[in-house]
Amino acid sequence: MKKLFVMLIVVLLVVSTVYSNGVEEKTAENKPVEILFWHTFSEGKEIETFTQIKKDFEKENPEIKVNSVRMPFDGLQQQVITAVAGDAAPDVMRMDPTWIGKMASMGALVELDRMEGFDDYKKNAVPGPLSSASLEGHYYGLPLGTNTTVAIWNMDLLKAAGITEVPSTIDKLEEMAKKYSNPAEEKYFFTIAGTYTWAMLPWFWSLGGNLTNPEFTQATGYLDSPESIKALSRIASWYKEGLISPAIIGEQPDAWSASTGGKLPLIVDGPWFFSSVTTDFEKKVTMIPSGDGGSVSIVGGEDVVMLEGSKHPEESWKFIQYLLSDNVQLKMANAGFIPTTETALSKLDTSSSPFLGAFVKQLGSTKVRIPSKNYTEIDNLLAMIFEKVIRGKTTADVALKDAAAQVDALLK
Amino acid sequence: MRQKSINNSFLYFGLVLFAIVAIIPFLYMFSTSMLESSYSIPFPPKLFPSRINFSNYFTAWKSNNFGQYFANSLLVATSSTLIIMFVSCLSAFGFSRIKFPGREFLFSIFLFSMMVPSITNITPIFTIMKSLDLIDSYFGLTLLYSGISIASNTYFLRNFFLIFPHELEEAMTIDGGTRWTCFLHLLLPLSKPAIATFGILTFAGNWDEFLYALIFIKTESKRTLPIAIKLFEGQHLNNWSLIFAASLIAIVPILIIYILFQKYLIKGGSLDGTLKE
Amino acid sequence: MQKEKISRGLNQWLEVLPYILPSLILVTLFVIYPLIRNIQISFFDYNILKNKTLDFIEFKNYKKLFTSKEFYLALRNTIIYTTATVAGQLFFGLILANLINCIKKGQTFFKVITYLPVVTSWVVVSLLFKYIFAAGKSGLVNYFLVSLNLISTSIAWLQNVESANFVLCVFGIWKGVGWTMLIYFASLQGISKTMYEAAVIDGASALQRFYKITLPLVKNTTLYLLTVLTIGGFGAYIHVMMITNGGPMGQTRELMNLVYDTAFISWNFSYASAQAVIMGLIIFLLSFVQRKITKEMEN
Repeated sequence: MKKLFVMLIVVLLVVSTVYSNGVEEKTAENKPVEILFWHTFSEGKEIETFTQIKKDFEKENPEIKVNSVRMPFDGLQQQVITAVAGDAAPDVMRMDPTWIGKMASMGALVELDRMEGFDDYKKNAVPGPLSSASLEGHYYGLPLGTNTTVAIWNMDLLKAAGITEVPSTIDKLEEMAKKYSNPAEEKYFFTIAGTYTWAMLPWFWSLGGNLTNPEFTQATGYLDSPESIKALSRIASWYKEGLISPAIIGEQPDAWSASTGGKLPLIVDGPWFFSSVTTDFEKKVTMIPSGDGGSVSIVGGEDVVMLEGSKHPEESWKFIQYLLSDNVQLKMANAGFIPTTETALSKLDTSSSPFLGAFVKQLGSTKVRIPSKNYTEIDNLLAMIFEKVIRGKTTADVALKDAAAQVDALLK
Repeated sequence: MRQKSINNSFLYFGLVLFAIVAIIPFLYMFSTSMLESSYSIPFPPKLFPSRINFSNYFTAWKSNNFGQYFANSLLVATSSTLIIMFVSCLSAFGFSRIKFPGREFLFSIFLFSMMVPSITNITPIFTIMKSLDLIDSYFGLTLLYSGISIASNTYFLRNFFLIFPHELEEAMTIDGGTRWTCFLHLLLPLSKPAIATFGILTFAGNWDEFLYALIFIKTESKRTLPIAIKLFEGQHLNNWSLIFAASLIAIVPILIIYILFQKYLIKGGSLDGTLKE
Repeated sequence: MQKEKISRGLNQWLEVLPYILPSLILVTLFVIYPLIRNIQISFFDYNILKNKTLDFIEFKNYKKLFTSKEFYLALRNTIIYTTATVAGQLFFGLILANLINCIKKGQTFFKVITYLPVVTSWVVVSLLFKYIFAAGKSGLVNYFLVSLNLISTSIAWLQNVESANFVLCVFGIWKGVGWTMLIYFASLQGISKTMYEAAVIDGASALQRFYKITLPLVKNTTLYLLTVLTIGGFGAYIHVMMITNGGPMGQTRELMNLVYDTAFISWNFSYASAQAVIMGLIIFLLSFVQRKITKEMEN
């Protein structure tokens, strides 16, 4: 018995010292309603801008307090699912648009079109990004900040190669690449960052390829159309003929380091490129070279969503509306988030940055990734067939026909 | 004498080979951390820094609440390691030195429970933590860490405890001791290498546990170090020189503990001398 | 007689209870309960968000698993990886522990250096390995092999399934040797020096001492390591994600990647639970066989 007693004391002692650091404070009912907001803003300008916005909101709405928690980007989706399953989810969060389909179909998100005043926001939202938040006729989010990818040229390299004018069409680009690229010297005119959809689709679309019909309900007839087959085959030939670097199949140097290192005349990338360049070279930003499909890029960004199970939907909606107001959108633009409302966009002063104008222009010619509850499976499928065709393991017509049937099944 | 020194140099040669293979990626990491703000990992790989520049280390320490999360990790890892060591030693002792019906069967259940991947266990564990009101508390996290590692720890320690012959306890009982005193004053001291090893491994494991720490600690100021390191990763960009600097700082406490406890890992003398002939 | 047996059994339980009670409670709460729930979920349609099991689907998940091509491919990859890394870690770990045990100066130094890979995050070192094994002459490994004239042209390590699997195995061994070494080292401390001294006097060579004294005496540790390293081998997934991303074309995916993808990309927790259960059974079978073989070798 004595030993048990001693054991008990020791354990209690250690436990209480640890416990005392983790006790939840059960305070009395506080006046302001607290809403939990998850975000992924990074330290520095982004968090500073946001903190100010949050404070302004709380000043204007003293009965609401916003508890904002910064989450690591890696594994965030897992965190959200776990939190929702455990009834410990945030009220509002900025979410990757490609997750919305699945989460909405599982009942995790609130249908925002039920909220009062939603229609005004719907009308004011930039149409491209807006479609990413829809599923089966309802809207589960509103685009909060958007971005896209554009063509970024290294003018120093181009001039050294005797090129004075940036090619505006893919045909011209291919011609230049044939003269410039030399695999033996590991010299390439441009590349595609990988076989994943984010990197492939701008080229695929610009070359005339298509994924589905405009309603996103069918892939057969679109994904396997002659135009799509032609587009994909052309990209595969670029790799086969050594016009683009092996970065596309994941080899080093990847597109990013080759470009920021000043070795790649053209890279297609987003606004974050400019905060990370380590070499100084003259940059020019234009829309993606156009092909049979025009100059089409891909929409990224984030949508703001409200999670089902939120105990304060009214207050959450107020916060969401605040985030979408013009002056907040313009403040966020300073931190690098391109506005997603027409009114804010029209007020945006693009002269403040050397590249913002090109991005805004490209935004007018973009396509979204398929809003579907099975988005991730579709995405993985597309990436897989792109990889197979690029590596030469199969031909575009066979692969795309097969894929179209599978995508159709996933779109049901 | 000649033979001995040839043998010795042979040994050292082998060890140096191992050391080189082990350390190459670290040289890569270290020299990348010396670069100014590198958003891509240098390719071709750079093993030796061209300039010694610790600025990234200072920046890392000051960003993303690194210092605070570091301190939190120290607290959580240390206290949870102590508790886990205590509970595991008890448990291993029970399973190895005390006979009771169903012992082997119960132990096999422990073993089997180690074999099913626990990745899909997140939701049931969440349910339990929630119903016991253990969310957002270091105590809860400690219990969780204990729970998931105890089967493995028991297995490990049990192995070492089983080595001792029964005469050991008999000798103690004859001298007037009980089970408990035998445990405390005889078994534990004799198992120092095993326990020290086990302590180091447990500390290292708890120190870099990321998933559950992120799920169950909700208050930002209470977060632990692995989360701070993850926060250095951007959505589109990763500042590798900074991330590597942060990762290298995170390894330091484990290495310190490892070095400090070295003397316990080696046993002087042999077991035979403890028993009186 | 029966009564005596029962009362003796109860007494033994009372004696052992204070020692094992905390661990029993903890294991039941955090491991056994989730395990049972896992098994239960694998037989039902499950909505993760509401944490509710829906329709009973019997063995549908298991049938799906055993007829899926990806399962067998992942199984093959996992077996290759686990066998190579377990053998590699045991072999190199024991040798390393012995080497360190034999030298007088610098033990700590070598122990620390070889332990470094163990304590660094999987994500960071996997990524570095990807660069080290890059194709072309700039990849570190290619550079060395070509300079030492061991190969004539660079190998595209990650572009072929065989070489990619090889890289993954090398990584697994590299990352774990320090850990195995530490445990073997602790175990070696239990072997009395007098035994070695006596053997030397009898004229035994180093190799003979190793085979006849060291190996048998660390048998229990080896068996423990076999089990734990096997479990570890099956549970590894980050290295695949970072080094090959399952490629080329998804052919280097291992079982744990399947489970992870099923759970966190397709959000099909019901199927993922079934996969996890089958993995557990496979590991159990392997351990069982390992045990039997070791027992036989003893006789």
